Amino acid sequence: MRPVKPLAASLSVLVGLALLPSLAAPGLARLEAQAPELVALRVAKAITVSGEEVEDATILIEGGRIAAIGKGIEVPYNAVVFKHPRGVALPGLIACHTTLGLRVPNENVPNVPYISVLDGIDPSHPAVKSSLRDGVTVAHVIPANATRVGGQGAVVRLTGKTVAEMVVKAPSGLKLSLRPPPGETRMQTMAALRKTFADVYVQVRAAAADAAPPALLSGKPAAPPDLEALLEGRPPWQEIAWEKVPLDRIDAQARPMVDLVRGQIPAFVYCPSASDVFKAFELMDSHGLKGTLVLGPDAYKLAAVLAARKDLGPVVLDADLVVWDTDPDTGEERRHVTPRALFDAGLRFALQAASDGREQGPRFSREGELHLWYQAAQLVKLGIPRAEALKAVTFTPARILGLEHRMGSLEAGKDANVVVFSGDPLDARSWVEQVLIEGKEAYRREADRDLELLLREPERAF
Amino acid sequence: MRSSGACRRALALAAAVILLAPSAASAGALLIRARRVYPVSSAPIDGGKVVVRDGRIAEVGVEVSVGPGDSGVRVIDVRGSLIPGLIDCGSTIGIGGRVAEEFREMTPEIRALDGVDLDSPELDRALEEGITAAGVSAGARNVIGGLGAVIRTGPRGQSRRDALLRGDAFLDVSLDEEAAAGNMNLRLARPATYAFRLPNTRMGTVFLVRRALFEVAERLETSSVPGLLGAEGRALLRGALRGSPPMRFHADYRQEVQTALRIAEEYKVPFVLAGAGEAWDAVPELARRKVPVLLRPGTSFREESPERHPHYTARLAALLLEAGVPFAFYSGSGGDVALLRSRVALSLRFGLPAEAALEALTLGAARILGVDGAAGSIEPGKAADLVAIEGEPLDVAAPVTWVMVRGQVASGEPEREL
Repeated sequence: MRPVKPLAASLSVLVGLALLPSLAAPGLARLEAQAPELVALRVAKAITVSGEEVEDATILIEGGRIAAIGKGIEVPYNAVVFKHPRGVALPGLIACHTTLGLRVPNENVPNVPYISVLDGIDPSHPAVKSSLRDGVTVAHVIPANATRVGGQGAVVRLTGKTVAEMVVKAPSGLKLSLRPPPGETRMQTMAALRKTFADVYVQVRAAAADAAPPALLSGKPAAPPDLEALLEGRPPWQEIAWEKVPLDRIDAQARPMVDLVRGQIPAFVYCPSASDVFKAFELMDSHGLKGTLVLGPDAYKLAAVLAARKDLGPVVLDADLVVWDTDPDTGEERRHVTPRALFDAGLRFALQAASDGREQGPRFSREGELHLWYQAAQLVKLGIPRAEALKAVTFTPARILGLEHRMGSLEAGKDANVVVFSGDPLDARSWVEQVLIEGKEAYRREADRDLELLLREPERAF
Repeated sequence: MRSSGACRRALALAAAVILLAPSAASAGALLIRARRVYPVSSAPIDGGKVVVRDGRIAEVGVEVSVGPGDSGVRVIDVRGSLIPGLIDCGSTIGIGGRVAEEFREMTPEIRALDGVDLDSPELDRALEEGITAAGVSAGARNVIGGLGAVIRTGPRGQSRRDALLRGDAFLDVSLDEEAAAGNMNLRLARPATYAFRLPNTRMGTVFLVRRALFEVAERLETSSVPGLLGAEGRALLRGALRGSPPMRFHADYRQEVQTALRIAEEYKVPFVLAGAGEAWDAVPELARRKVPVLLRPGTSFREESPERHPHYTARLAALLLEAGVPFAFYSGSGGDVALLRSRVALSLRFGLPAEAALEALTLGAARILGVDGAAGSIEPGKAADLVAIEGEPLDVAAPVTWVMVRGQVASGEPEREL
């Protein structure tokens, strides 16, 4: 079924490898030419997410992108055709906040803006394959929540033998975490974060002063920045004329923080409890950060506050969607459905399959660590409309990652990231039959040898 | 019995008042009409009705003797499915604090029930997800862990007597590595416990099980050899040798499963196998010896740990069903009981039919726990422990609407007839 790879395709891979160092700069990479030029996917139903469901749909894919989707689309004679007479097609699921592929998800030093998951992702990690088996096509891999400034994430497609082949976007964002490490108070964590930003400000100012000695301009030396004042209020970032700052003079290790403050990379701010959200707001306001909040299970408390902040995009929910607490006075047990509270307040959210950045493991403590589709099914169970539940694992994560023009729905012009389920995607009886990533087959159940082994009948006699 | 006029109703009311008792057959009855009733003991009934009286199921079927217009009849309509209350076969639900009595490794006389706090939030959460009965166990930390019970999970504030379905449901016996974990020789390593406990190894654990069975089977208490067990423990174990209470062997690894089968063969003792993660190739033997199996759904579900479970253990339920081995599910940890239905639903992909899964969660579990006389199916005479689900019983996206225990709504809000 796979066509002969033209020479150009191999060449482009080589070029891609040669460009590897440039991946550290913000930008988009696209894995082209490896996919067959024309692919037609025929399914019983296509759930587009962005529009109406299409019965008896044909998805025509050209050059890795969806060229057309609809009923009765003519299939060119030279197209590679995949037929799923009972299959249901869904946009590839997107894990928008995960440590997938990282053997160790966190640095043990608290302030490491300079590290990147590009150096940590293991393309052959077993979780990559099992995620494909669950219909995940794209993952936003980012350091976990144990470090204050955790490092840079990357959006990767779950196919490819090297990290370079996998990368869609890097850096995708910088992780900030408000979760104090053991033995540290939340006050200290916030104080240390304020200081980190103040230090960056001092560095930037110093670099600017070096480049244009104020003595030459105004005849008097600049007053040294008052660090204590900086820690209390907002550093006057607006006074920095970025075009005059020689960025090459700034310590390379602090450079990602400068990109963060300039709005060139977004922040992913982990707020383990609802009260941390205000601190996240302070950081975003004081330093002009753009970014996404990654919320803890009790975020229901702040539904109105979050909704009132109009500049806030969709948020990322914890894997535990229902929280119980006990009234300390009456002993009454209260149940809180976080997605319900947020949805009713008009907020949109994306789901995670694992709580608190834990690595997926063989023994999970909560169901949520299993599957992204399962989390979406839980949303339906908790009263969220089905269309919104499906968006929470497709379109909304694409929006959070700034990739909604490329993925998250089945629409002409978007990347052909398509998952074909054997039935209803939210039914535990359905299997993922086939996964296409940018038009290229990344998974097919019939060819899943591991699955065959895992399901094989017993051989040894007792 | 259907009264047609206000006059007759008034007469009936008068008669009831005069006799100071609800003499009319319909008085005080509850009529539940569901889109589909799953009695489990028989085929599902579309448009089925269930009559509940005095906390018990009185009638089940399409046609029942009580109508919605009858006096004193309350009506509840269920848009989705009505199923029997779900049953978890074993966990530490409601046992706050420490679970295992660590000071000795042989504690048959300990009763898990004595540790259960009936007001524990764990029970509320399980009830809310449709689990109306749960086995409580002191776990697999002790070689002989103690006597397990079966309790109702609600409603909150129930008396101990109401909660108790069975006080002597099973006797936990551990062949699991957990029994020896952390019991170190002080000179060699830092122990996890300072209690004096015997087994340091898997071999030691098996030796202790065998020693206890030998002591009872050979009536060592009459000899001069000092025994491991007290008088009460010996009495319990003597009963367990005959299957009352049944011994529950905790065995997960392949070698542990083999050991369980071997010991049971030596002492001709009936048992229930719990865990069974690697019972893959023992299925024909389990079928031949009719050993009931309790599976812990959800653990080691994936292949990330191939050295431990090279197969999807979720497939095991389907294999047991095919081989005719009775099986049910247990959570192990009290906090996981509420997740039972969803976790079992994840086995459906691996060939377990939804009806068989529902049976294992209800009647199958009740049989293995020995409470099928009172619970596990919607049959006349059984307690009205019922669950309404908005959709198919094992649909992971279908919520539990309400839960009833002994005819009383214990969680959720039913839709009354308008």
